[in-house]
Amino acid sequence: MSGKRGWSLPRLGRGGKILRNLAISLLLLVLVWAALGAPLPPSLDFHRLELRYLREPSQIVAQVEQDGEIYVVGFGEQEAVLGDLEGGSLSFWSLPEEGTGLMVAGSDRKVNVPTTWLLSMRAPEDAVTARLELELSAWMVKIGPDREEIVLELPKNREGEYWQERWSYSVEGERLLSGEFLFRVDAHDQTPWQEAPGRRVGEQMALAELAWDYLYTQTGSEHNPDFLAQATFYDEQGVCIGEARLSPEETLFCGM
Amino acid sequence: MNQDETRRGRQKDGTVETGERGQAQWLDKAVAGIRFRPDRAAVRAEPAAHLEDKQADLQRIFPDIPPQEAEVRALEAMGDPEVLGRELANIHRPWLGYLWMASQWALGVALALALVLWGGRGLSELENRRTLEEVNQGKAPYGERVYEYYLAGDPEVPFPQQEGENEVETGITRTPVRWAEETETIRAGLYALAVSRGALWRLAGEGIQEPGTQSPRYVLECELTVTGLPGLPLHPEAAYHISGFDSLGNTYQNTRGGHGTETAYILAMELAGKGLNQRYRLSVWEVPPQAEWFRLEYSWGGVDWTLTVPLKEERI
Repeated sequence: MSGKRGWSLPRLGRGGKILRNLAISLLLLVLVWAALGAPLPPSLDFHRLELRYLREPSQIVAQVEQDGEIYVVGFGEQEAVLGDLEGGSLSFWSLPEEGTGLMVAGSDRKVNVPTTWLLSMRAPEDAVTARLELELSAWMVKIGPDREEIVLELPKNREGEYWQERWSYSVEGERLLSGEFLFRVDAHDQTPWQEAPGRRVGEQMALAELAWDYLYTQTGSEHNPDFLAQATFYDEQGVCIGEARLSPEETLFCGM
Repeated sequence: MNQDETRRGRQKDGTVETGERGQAQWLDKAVAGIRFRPDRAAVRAEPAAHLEDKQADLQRIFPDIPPQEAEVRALEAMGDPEVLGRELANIHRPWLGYLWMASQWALGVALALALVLWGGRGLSELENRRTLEEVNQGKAPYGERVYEYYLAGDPEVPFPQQEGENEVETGITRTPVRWAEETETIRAGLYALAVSRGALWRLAGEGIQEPGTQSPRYVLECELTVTGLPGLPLHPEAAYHISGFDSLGNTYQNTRGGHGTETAYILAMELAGKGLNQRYRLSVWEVPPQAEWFRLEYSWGGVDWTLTVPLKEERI
């Protein structure tokens, strides 16, 4: 015998081996989960995003799906936080100091959206039903070599055949557990953008831009698209107990 | 015991069967109660070895004993296989066996997944690094060298030049006039923040002028390091909420990623970090050279912090 005894791991019983295997598996699964982008359920993913923005977690009030992507809305002390989980970013709308407000709970990354969502902010407590009336208009022009690509533009920037379209929507609100109302606004023209000439659908573009911050922060009186959304809230007896409006003039968007 | 009796072996009628069949039957009975099948073979080996030992002992002690008799006696000495079987069944719980098998499977699957996912990532990362090294010809990217120049504040080091460019062409003279002292580390949310270095620069020359500004201009360049948790890096837009003021009472608003003009402003930009450390370059424009300190302020979304950066007249 050489007399030298090398260091060796302690011999484990079956229970010890099970624990060892499970511990290593757990560690490896954490690595796998991290490699997959550390996915979490939407509400936790939203709070994680808030933590990464160096914010206190807000109170989640709504979750919507647009084009297969999840958006979560939470209310903080002064602002509503819209979490774009796919895009990994937050945007912020000012909560009304008094009364009820409206915000757009949809993507600010999309050019066309067949559906967008409006959400009440601090709806009246006794509201049981709500209805949204939305008037939307946009000036458009066709550009590009084949004059197929539609852009939203006021008729003063370049030559071309401009035209204006108007759309009206009347939508019943869905009362959420949080007490807020979610209004689903579907474009009348549901043509998939991939099949549209120039890959643009004018109405869907106008609806998409409702979520873009520039619409609410740009100076001047002319907005394109222009719109007025008005929600009316009713109690159990059908009596109107509150209203909320959203338009480009009401600069509710905080930006960043 | 006569020869015939020993050949028959012990059956239900009290007889003993000998030979390999008799041993096998005895061992099968002894391990029949173990419900976790993979254990049976392993457990069976132990009494089998005992039997063999006993038989060998008998043959050693009584050299004249016939092998069959030694076998019968060994089997008798081992006792009732059913009694032993019950004890073995109690010791070898099936759920522990199945759990063990499951843990082996779990380990295998997790290992395979980790190898596939992290192996793929590692290869892609290596490829990216190789491409970057080729593009930059082994040197740090020009932008990185410029940031390093401003953050280090070394008056002896010349401004990094791009190929074919010289100081005369840019027309800007850069002189560090104060240096940022490393600050304490503060905690905010999940993150630890500190300003690690920086310098207040005097920039002179026509090239530095913007509408509403005049040469010379002063800019405080400092590096904010943010240490977080794995997989939870600070979102770069969080830095857009850092504002500040200096010891002379001047305030600085954040331009949220864009360059401002005319008024004093603060610009935050994320730089390449390392590991859990993120680096932000904070450029604070129009800080007077008399300022003895600069205070970073953050108050947003329920989180508040301040960090005071001493500005020394001598390089630290």
